[in-house]
Amino acid sequence: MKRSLKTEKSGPASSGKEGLARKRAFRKDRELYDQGVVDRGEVGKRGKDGKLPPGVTHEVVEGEIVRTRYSAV
Amino acid sequence: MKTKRAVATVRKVAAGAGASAAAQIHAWENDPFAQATPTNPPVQATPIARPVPNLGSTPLAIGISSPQPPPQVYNTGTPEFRYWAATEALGRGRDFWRGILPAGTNWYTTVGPKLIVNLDNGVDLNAYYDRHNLDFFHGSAGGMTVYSGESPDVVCHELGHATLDALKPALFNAGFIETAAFHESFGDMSALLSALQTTQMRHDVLAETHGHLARSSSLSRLAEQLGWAIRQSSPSAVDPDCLRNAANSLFYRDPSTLPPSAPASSLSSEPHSFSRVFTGAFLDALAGMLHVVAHGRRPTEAELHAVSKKAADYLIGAIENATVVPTFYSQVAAAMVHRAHPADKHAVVGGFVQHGILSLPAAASAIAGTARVTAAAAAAPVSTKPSPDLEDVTIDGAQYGFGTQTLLVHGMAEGAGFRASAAVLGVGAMPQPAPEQAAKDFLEDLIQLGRIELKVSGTTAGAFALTQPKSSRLKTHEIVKEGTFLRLRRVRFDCGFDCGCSGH
Repeated sequence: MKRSLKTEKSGPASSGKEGLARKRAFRKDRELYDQGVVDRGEVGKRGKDGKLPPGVTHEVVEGEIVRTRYSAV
Repeated sequence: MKTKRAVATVRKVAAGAGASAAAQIHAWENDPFAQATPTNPPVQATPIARPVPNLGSTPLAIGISSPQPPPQVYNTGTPEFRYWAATEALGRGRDFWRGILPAGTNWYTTVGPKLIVNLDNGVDLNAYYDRHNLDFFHGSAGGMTVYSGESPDVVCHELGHATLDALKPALFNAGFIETAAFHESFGDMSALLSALQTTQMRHDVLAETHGHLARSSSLSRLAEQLGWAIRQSSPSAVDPDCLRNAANSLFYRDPSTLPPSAPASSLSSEPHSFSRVFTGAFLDALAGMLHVVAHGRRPTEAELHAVSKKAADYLIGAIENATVVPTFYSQVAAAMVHRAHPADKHAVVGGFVQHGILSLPAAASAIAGTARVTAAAAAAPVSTKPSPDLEDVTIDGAQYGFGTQTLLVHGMAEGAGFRASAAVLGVGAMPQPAPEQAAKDFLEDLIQLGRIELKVSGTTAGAFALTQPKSSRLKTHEIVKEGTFLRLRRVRFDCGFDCGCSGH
């Protein structure tokens, strides 16, 4: 499964060594995030009724793990 | 399937000037359950009388998908009661945030002008915000049916997600552990702050905690009923007294070193679990601000009301200015300190220091406004292995809020071992710290734990901890003047059981 590195407006742009370090940190955190989502079974598909199963908060959209909702538990 | 029904005595609550009995409904203060230790079966809370809310007003209009029953008093356990309980919670939370958010804030674009709420969308012990609706559910547990939309704590948590999404949409799918956890924390902070918007709740929590808001109470215990329902089938999945308790002592850890899931008694990188660190810090900051404004006496409900609005204002301002990065917690914390009124800065920073979200040097920088804070990063104390006596270690006091004075830390054998060989989850052992670093770590631990008594006048030293209610804890060390230096010295050992044993 392709891991998403996509973020929306994730901090100011930077270049050089600092920029590379920032990108590495972002990538590492995003990979851990995605792995946690998968490990906990929070990624799923919608049923025929269009609803997500209980506890599922993420879907795979065009090969990327995307959050589609937040839950209370 | 049995639905719990009760005709409870209704508490008389001021509904606002000019409100008539006909313009009132009954609702829950903050949850259908309010017991510190749930009995079997649990006892329901007492409904309160509230004015009829108007959810359709703009901006941030809300609509309920199911038909509206006539606004009047209904018995608990009925669909009509649940409708108005949810509506009242939505109105209370929305009105509160609408008064704090920047002008022009609207729901996220896909929500549209009106946030639609489905009060019972099927079977699940949960609730969701999906950038279109708020969805609540029902589930069976312990011989009764629990409706997540009946709890103001749950309703205001979900409303918090929608509110934060309106303010900072970049957070929704940022994909970092801390941003996801912060979203959950904001939901819980929304529940806490919304609960404080009734006069009766403020009176109740001040009486229950004797004015010490950081104590575990009906305020800090979030979603007692939903927590109870989940506990019936998964006893370790939630806190023992509620879904999540904001009165906690959970300390920041780099979430990448935490397991992806864990029982509620432990910290994990799962967003709801990790959210408890920030929520705990926020409650402590709130309690610290209240402590400051009360000047040592018991705070009034009016003071609590004002403090709740100030804390929310600091929080919203901080979120607006915080950069979306993996270390989002410390970004928001530093920005909150920056935004806080000078009289509140030490109280705000104290909450974050005591939960490790801001390291002490970062906290000092945030207060001084001299540096951008980039990392939290306080590691947990680990080893108790004793270390040999060391010479005096000098520490630059400015890093810890001691101004230009130098601090001497002597006889590190009594505590330096706390950091002698720090283990890091999943990586191995931390490098052995140099004596100066060990001394700094030890000093940080003492301040974060509120263990130091300051015996030097005319300095702000240690103010991070001293403005916190926890500073009433048994002091094991003191800071005294020694020539031109400040000296940290131990005054007693604490066995941890409040037996009064002393190291003198």
